[in-house]
Amino acid sequence: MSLLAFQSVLSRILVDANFRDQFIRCPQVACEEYRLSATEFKSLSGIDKARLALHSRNLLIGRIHLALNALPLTRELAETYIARLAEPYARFAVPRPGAAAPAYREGLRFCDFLLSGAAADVGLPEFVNDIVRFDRSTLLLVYSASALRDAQAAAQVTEAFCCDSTTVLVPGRHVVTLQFVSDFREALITRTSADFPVPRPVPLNLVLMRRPDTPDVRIVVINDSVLELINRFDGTRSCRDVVSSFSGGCVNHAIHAVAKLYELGLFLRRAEPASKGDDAGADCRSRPPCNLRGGW
Amino acid sequence: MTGTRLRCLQPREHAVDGESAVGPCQPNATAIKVGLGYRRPLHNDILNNKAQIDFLEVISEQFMHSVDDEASRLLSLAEKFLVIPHSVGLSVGTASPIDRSYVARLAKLIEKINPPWHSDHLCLTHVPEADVEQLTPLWRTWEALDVVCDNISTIQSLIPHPLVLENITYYFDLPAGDLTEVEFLNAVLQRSRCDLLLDVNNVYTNSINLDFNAMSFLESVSLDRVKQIHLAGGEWDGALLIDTHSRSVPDRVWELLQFVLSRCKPEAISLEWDSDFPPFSTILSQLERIRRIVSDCNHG
Repeated sequence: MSLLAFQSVLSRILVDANFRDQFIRCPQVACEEYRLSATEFKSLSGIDKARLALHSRNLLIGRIHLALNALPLTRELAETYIARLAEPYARFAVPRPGAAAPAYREGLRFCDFLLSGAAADVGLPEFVNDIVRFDRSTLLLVYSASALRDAQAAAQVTEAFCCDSTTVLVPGRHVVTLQFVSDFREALITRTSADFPVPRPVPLNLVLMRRPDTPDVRIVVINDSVLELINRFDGTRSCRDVVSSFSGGCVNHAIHAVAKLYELGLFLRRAEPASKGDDAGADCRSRPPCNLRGGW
Repeated sequence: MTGTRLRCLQPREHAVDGESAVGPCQPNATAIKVGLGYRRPLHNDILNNKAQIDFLEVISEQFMHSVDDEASRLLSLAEKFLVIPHSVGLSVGTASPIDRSYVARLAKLIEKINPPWHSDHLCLTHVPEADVEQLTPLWRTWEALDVVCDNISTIQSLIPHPLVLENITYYFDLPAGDLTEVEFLNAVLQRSRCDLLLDVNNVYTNSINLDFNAMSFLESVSLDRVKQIHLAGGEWDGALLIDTHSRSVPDRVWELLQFVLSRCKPEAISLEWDSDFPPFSTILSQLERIRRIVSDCNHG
């Protein structure tokens, strides 16, 4: 008799939909590898199945909410689809214990689920993967102690471009107005320079794209006026001079955002030709090349 | 941690060798503290109504990881309030060695704020193979009792602050166990050196969903070991009452609280409200009602 085996079966029944289905269909086969005693098996088999299903579903919805709280942009897209995401998410992977924060673990798991295509039939917008990749990368930085320096940089950049209402252009495709979850944003705000003004809620002309496999942040310019501004930061004039002399069509805070980036030394990366599978870079090829300073 | 104003309650002496350290409800000059579960959306309201909140209960997991603003937020709260950490990850019921890295992180957090006690739940939340992430009922066997008491002993050796365990809600029972919930709970309290965080709403919720008498349950619990009480309100999902912590405390729970306070005097009572937040005045009115009941029971 092993209490741990009993608890393992119970836990899998609760969080592993495939195992739960197998247990309901044929409990003896499902439990075979655990070598339960007759009493243990009797107890597990005797659980009210309807209550078990309800408990499992409540657990699952709780997990999805936990994940979406850590993924503010994804939450904007996916929150209304939670009921339809529940079933495929329950079958995606068995959650394992870990040392990291529960929100971080569940957030990453949910990102991996969406990026795997397992939710392809749910009906999410076609650009969801771009948003998920961004959220995933930011989540990694926010919670990764070892990448704290990059988290600070990422927070500063994100603060520069995100406000109460943010227009994010997925290159060449859609414009989505998204709302940052205040809790998540607060975590980023505390890392930014105190003198940076909080932008008013107006559309932006830049999009922040993060490559999925590196902490680098790429800023893709989608507006010619802003591009013109950026090109004026050529190192021959002070930041203040550039901003004061600019009379282009940018909204105010875009000017401040670019100026702040320049002051912080977070240089803008030149848009690079897209490599295979690099969705973030795909539309950059259609844009005029940016005269940007390189490197982080 | 410098500059922190500590507002500790007097720690209670703990039982030795199963002897209850505190007898039946005794006159105590110290008033029962009335507090609130800290939730970030309520942060500003909490600060603006500090005088009406005796203490804050914080979810330990929200402050245990290396995200800068979390640590500073906790320390800031601890400078203004008595803060009691309430965890969900100790998983005292899991029949495998306690996660010492988790306990170490919890110990570090507790060391920062020096609470009079810390709390978790009498349940399991994970096994090595899977992470349930939610409070899961225990199969109440003699073996499970040994496991729980051993785990509590390990935790107490690693974290010197008193540990208090909460009774949980559960929507299914595990048949063929050796003990009832009350028997199991009382046995844990008797054998271990931990006290009880009595969640009265959890007792009520379970009584509805599992069809037993909540008052009889409370009459049988070792109320002399109640250190803290939780109150909350849930929502109906069909025929089941779900412990959502998103509604006002139900009338029946207020009645049960009055019964409990007529039998014992805990050190603290806290309201839990996790989502669907009402105007903060509604939350304050719930705290005020707790104070009135405390006063009516001559515990104020």
